[in-house]
Amino acid sequence: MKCVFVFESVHRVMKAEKLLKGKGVKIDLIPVPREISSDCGVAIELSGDSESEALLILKENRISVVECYKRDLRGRFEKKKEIQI
Amino acid sequence: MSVIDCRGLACPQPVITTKQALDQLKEGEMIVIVDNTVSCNNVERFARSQGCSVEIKEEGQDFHLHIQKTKTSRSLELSQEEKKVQKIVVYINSHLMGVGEEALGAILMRSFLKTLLDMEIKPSQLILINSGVRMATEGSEVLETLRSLSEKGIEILSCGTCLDFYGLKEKLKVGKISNMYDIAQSLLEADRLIRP
Repeated sequence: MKCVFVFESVHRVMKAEKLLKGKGVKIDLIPVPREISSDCGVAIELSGDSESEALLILKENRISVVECYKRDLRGRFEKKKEIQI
Repeated sequence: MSVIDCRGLACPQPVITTKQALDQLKEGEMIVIVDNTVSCNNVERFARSQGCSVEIKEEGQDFHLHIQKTKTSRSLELSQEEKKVQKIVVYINSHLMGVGEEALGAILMRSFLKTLLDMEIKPSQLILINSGVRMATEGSEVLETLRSLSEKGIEILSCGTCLDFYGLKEKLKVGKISNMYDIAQSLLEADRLIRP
């Protein structure tokens, strides 16, 4: 199970990428799929088990995640109701 | 007759599922069930674009699309297949997409390559020139993406002179080393040349 973070702007994505990589969290930048509307066209994908760790790091650095999605093996996105830290 | 239940699936999944089922179907009818007008319209448009006839029946909240595939729809599909055989070459002359901030350019290029993976139209070749060759070498962020593109049958060619210049010849991880003769020929022979 993959987890996808959507941010408000590409600047936040870039900041978050740098931060998470610096902390050794394995992430990947992905284009935001058509079915998710977002002002920013790039999102961060990470494996499900590092989700809470990543959210904590972002929170500590005051980078807010707008939305969080789960991506199943078939590549379908499902929005998570609430972002839990 | 096959019945495909696409209720609850987010766009564009119903169209993708319909396409897969339609590819399997030689001739005859199949039914696609969707639960919203947008999906209904999209699936209908897709089926018609494939030369099929479509009849829509509303059943409560759902739409049942009866899609009829005939031999003529098949031949239409074949002529579309032929169109795809056109040689599309993607010419990437930098590891950045567009002119502007480098950090943004790198993100856009990664995004572009990833999106290529999901596109129905596939280029036949991807030519990497100048700093573009970095993307196919060790430590590149897009290595996995390029590998997947290569697995899908897209030929990835890196300019040998460029690899040599950047001292990356030994570090090439995906695709082949090519030379200016092959590259120039590919560019000249291409039906369409894409320069992101």
